[in-house]
This record gives sequence, structure tokens and C-alpha cells, in this order.
Amino acid sequence: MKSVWKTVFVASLLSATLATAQGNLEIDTPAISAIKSSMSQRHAQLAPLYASGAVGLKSDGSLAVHDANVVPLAQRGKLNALVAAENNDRTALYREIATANGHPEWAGDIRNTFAQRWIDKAPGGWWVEGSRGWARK
Amino acid sequence: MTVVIAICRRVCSRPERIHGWRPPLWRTGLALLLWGASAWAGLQLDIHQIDHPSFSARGVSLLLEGSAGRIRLDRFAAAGRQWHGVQLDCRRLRLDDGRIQCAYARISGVPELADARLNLDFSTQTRSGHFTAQFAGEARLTATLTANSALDIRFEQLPLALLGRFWPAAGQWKPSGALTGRAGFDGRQFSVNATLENAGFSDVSGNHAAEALAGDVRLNALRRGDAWTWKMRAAWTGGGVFWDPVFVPPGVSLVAEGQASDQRVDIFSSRIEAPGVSHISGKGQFDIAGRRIIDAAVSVSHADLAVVVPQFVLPVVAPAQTERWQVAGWADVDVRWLGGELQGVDVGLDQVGFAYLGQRFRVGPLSGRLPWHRDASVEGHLQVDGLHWQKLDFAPFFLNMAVAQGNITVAPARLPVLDGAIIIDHLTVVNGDEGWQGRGGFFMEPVSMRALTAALDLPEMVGTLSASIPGLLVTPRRAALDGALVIALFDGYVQATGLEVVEPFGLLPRLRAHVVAEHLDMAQLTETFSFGAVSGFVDLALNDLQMAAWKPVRFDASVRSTPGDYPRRISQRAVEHITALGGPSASAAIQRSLLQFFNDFGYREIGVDCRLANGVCQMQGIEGAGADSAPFTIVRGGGIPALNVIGYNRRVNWDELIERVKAAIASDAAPVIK
Repeated sequence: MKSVWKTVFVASLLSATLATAQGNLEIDTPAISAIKSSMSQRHAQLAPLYASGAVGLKSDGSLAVHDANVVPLAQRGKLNALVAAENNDRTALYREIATANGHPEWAGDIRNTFAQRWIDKAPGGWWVEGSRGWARK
Repeated sequence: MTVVIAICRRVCSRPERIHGWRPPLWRTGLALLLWGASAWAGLQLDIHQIDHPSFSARGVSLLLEGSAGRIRLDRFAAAGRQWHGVQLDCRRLRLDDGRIQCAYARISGVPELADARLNLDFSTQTRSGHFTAQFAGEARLTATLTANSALDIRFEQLPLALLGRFWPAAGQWKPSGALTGRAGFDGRQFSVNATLENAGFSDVSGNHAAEALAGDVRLNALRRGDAWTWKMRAAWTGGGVFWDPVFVPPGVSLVAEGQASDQRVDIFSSRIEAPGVSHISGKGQFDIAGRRIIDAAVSVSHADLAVVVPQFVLPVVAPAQTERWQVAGWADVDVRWLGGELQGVDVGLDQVGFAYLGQRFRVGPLSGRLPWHRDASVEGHLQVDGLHWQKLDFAPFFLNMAVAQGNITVAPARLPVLDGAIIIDHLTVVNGDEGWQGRGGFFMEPVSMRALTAALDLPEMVGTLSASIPGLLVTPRRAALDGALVIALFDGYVQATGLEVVEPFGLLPRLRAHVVAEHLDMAQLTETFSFGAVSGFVDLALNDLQMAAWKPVRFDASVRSTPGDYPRRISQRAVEHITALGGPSASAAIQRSLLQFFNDFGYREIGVDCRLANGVCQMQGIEGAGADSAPFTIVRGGGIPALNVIGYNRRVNWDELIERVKAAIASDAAPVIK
């Protein structure tokens, strides 16, 4: 059941039509498909890290290591690599959606729109960054 | 030691010097104040000060109350810290013949030792004694001061958490674990022999932490003037350290000797043995105040890159891609500092290989030497015995290079591939404000398309691939070619210009280019791809080609018959394939018509454009632009029998179109001639 929910969550985030952006955020290109696929595959590894508080959602649309202490010491390097890879994909996703809309200069706005959406959609217990710093939803 | 004693009743007068009590290191003033003339109900002993190289005390007074008593210190200083108003409450306090014995004591004024049970036994006559602190569990510290002022400290299971109590800066790291061992100091020699068990630390974020650390250290130091000469051995035998972004496993040992003063530390020699390296040796001088290296030399011997690179290099330089790179081989590295500056680096490579994403891109084995010197250009070289990209294998080649301050110049070289070669005409790699950047030029000795297509598992083609790229720009993120890549193919040529690849090793390699092709023989082309048979020639333009993950995301393409006088025939099979691109119904329509009885048709002109954007190919035919609902001519018939191929759908989903092309090619069979 959990995995079904997670799948629905990721799918809804990736396919959400966001009213705040003027462009088509549902737009699909081979590049966007490749990024979504990469992010979906990685989510299986990230989900327990969100839940444990090891990883949190930042207000700029990226991820950050929130509390590495909950991850075994020898795994913390992998934790960082995972977060770095996800952030690479997210940056590429925002850029690709902007480019596919014919407006590369929208990447920043699209990032902000997604950032708020990721945080709004995050389930209770996840750590998110707000105007007052980190907080647990 | 100097001891000055004064004994008085009720009122203490100026201390009186007692002849014969003048040890070199001690200066003590004693004053006895006796209470009650008739009974010894209470006794107070004042000691003005006690000085030792390791500690000092001021305003010491002892108060006897029956068998118990108190020892007060106005100020106590040790290990660079001071405490005021320190008081020892002794369950048993005894003064006997110059000997002070305080047993089962609790201390106040030193919060760090609030939970410790203390014992003190000190002889003012022999200037020697013992101090014991018993902590929770088995933890215990014993300090023995001998008559010759030597201090011997033994500690058993001493919690490292105490460090946090004494040094707040250490407390932020939440130290844990226990230390057992011995330390000694006699004013001239200092020694420590300690074993660490189950130790750890962590900052708040957990990004700098250690767990289950075990090891031992042995240090001996001898004072020579203002400096200490020292020798140490240390072994780290268990646990692990994570120092973002690197995890360091145990198995490290260190042997070193040197000299230290307030201003600088000299390491005469040091040797580290660790997993992944034969050994690391080093020596040098370090400026403590300036926190900088003055002179130093460090040598890393026989580093196993399969161990060292994933552990220490990739997490730093490519954290998002640590699992995509595989590295093997060995390296020797020498690094030298002189006069506070990095002076030179010498890297020796032996049988080094690396691969990206499995086997897609492989280099190696390669061996050679890459030196760098601050003030001079030095020669380096690499013997590359393997270079593989996708399914292309390069033959071994040799690279000579000159390495100077901030740049590497590669000498002209020939990189053989298949039956041709890539010739590096000039190449300079510069370390600028935006990181490393390579600029150069190269050209190709023609590679036959027959060999190339065979190597790439493509349908066999006849022709040659050549290139002349006078301007090549390569950065870690981007490769751009200022020049032309030319393929002589199908009796014509294909030329790519403005080639640029962004993030070639990232998740999403992006390619931009402008491609033109002229005079492509359709007969060879259609035969090669089993697309029926078409005679004649076409020109092609593929402007603003953009690919992501090697798939097209945008282009503006145009195919037109090459002007000229030549036979123009198109087979029924080719027509079927072209019409099948419009969907199953279009294909069925032609099969039902009379045209099915002809094997081929004459045509006058072929013309189709496709502008790809957002996954949709916007098509137009020979007539040019028109309404979405307007039919367009792809093949205009001519001769007998003639046939027009008309398109009806100007907006085609690109992925569907590709699937239809693949299906048409896959379903191709020899035409039935009746």
C-alpha cells in the first residue's frame, strides 16, 4: 500500500499541472521523460530517507541532507551522492521544461513553482524548509 | 621547589622562611591557624601557592573538622584553564607529619568533575603524592607526583566525554568512547601511551562524525630549549570516520618524528600505511600561527586507484556520479612545497583504466608520467593502450605533452581508429577562471563507412568519414567543434557544423548541430535501410538540430530532390512505406487501387519538411506551408505511370512516426513482380 501511495505521489508531482506557471508543465519530451524516469527510480531509495528525516525538501526546489545522523556512518557518502544526483536531475528537469516551452529563461520560475508544489504535496512527517527554517510537516 | 612556612596562632603573620626547604620548583607558604586554645576542635592550614609545570594553585587552605575536612583553592590552573573557588569536601581529611590525606572527596567549583570521587595524598616533606579521581563505572584517573617533580598520570576507561566538559569546543562534537593509558611529564620529558576504545564524535548535522573508533597512540617528547623533539606511533584499528563527503575506513598506521615549538612544527619523517596505498611518506615544516606549509614533501606510493578514487576522489569531484565511474590501476604521487608555495607535483600512472556507465566509454590501460612544476614547463607522456567509445576501439597511441603553470600542451599525435585515424593537430588544456578548458584542432584521416558501420552494428554503408575541426573547445561540461565533420556517403556528402555536446557524461547529454547533406543517392540509401527502391538524388538540411539523451527534441528539416537530370523512379514498396507512415488506412488504400499492379513509378520531385518541437513534427510538402487541414505533396509524379504521394496529416507525433518507420523497415520484403 505504501509503495502504491509513493508511486501515486511521485506521479502526481511529476505530472501536476501547476496553475502558477504560465507554461505547460506537463510537457513531455525525450529529455523530460529520461529525467522523470531517473527520478522515479531513485525515489525508492529516497522515500525512507524522507521519512526518517535524513533528507528534507528545500524551499528552492532541491533536496538537502537534513539529518545525516539517522543514516549509518558508512552509508552517509551514498546519502550525499543520492542527494547530489537528485538535485542534478531536478535542475535538469526545470531547465528542460523551460526549454521545451520555448522559454529557457523560465527555468527559475518553474523551479520556484515546483519547489512549492513538492512541499505542499509532501506527506506528514517529512522535513521541509520554510521561511523560518526547517520544520517537520 | 621553595617552601615557606609560617606558623601562628589565630592571626597569621608574614610567612617565615625555614632554612633547608628550598626545592627548585615549589614555593609554598604555610600558615597554621589553630582554633580554640584548650581543644583542637578545628585546624586551618593556608598554603599561599603551589606551582608545577603542569598546574598551579593559589590561595590554598585546608580546614580540618574532626576526621573530615575541606580543601579550598582560590584559583586552580591546569591544561590552559582556570577554576576559581574550588573546594574539596573530604570525608576523611588527615594532616600528619607534613602529609595531607583527603579521602572520598567530592569537588565543587569544577563542574567537570562534579560526579567524581577524589582521593588526595600529598607529602609536603617529600613533595610527592597521589591524586585519584574515580568516575562512574570503571573509569579512573591516577596522578602521581614524585619527589623529583615527575608527574605520572594513569587513566583507565577514561570517558572522552570528559573532553567536552573541560573544553567546550570539544563538547560540540559530542565525543564518546574511553581512553586507557599512561602519560608522564618530568619537566623535560613528556610521554603518552594510550589506547582508544569504542570512540566517536559527531557534529550536529552528522556530516562530520566517527563511530566505534579503536586505536592506540604512543608519543615521546623531549624538551630542547624552547622546542620539543618528538616521536610518535599511532594505529587506527577499528571504526570509521565520515568527513563530508568522504568515508574513511580503519587500518591506518602512522610513524613520525619531528620537532615542535610555539611557532612551528617540523616533521623530520613520517610514514602512513593505509588501505589502498602501499605507503605515504612525508616531511616538512609548518607555520603554526600562519597555519600554512613552509616546506614539505609528500609521496604517495603505489596507490590502488580502484580503492582510492571511489573513496576519496569521486565523492569530491563528482558526487552525483560516483557509481557511474569505474577506475583501476596504480599511481605514484609526489607533491612538494617550497617557501610556502606548492612547488611541484609528479604523478606516475601504471596500467590505469577507467570506464563510464559500464563499458560505454573506456580508457586504458594507460601508463605514463604527468609532472607539474610551478616555475617551469616540464615534459609528460602517456602511453594509451586502449580507448573505447560505444563500440569503437582505438588502437594504442602515445601522447607527449608539456605541462606548465596552468596549462598543458599536447604535442601533435595520431590516434588510430578502424582504418583511419584522428590527428590531433594542436591541443592546449588551460586552467582558467571557469575551471579546466581544452582548446585545439584536429582532423581525420578518412575512416571507411564500411568499417565504421560494421563496428557500430549499423547497416553497411559505403563511403568515408572525415573531419577537419580547426577549433575544438572542451570543458568538463561542454564540447564544441568549430569546423566541419564530413561524411562522404551514398555518392554525396553529409556535413555537420556548429557541433556542441553539453554534459556528455551527464544523465542528459545534449547535442546541437547544423547538418546538411547533398546529392545523396536514394538508390543506395533505400537499399541500405531496406526501404524499397528509389532512384534519384536528394539534398537534406537539418537546421538547429537539438538532441537530448541522443534523441532529437528539436530540428527544422527539409528534404528535396537534388536539381539535375537523372532517372527518377520509386518502387511500389517504397511508396507503400511512405504512405504507411500516414497510418494503416493509407497503406491499405494503395493496396486496393489499380496501382498495385505496377512495380515502380516515375516521379518528378520529392520534397518534405518537418519542423520538430514538443514531440510533434509539423510537416509540409513541396508546396510549402499550408493549413493544418490542407493535403500536401510529398512525391510529385512524372512519367508513365506516375504517382503522387499526398500527405494529409501535417502534425505527426514524432515517436509514432519513428515507430512507423521502424515497422516499415522491419516489414520490408522483396517486392512481388507479376
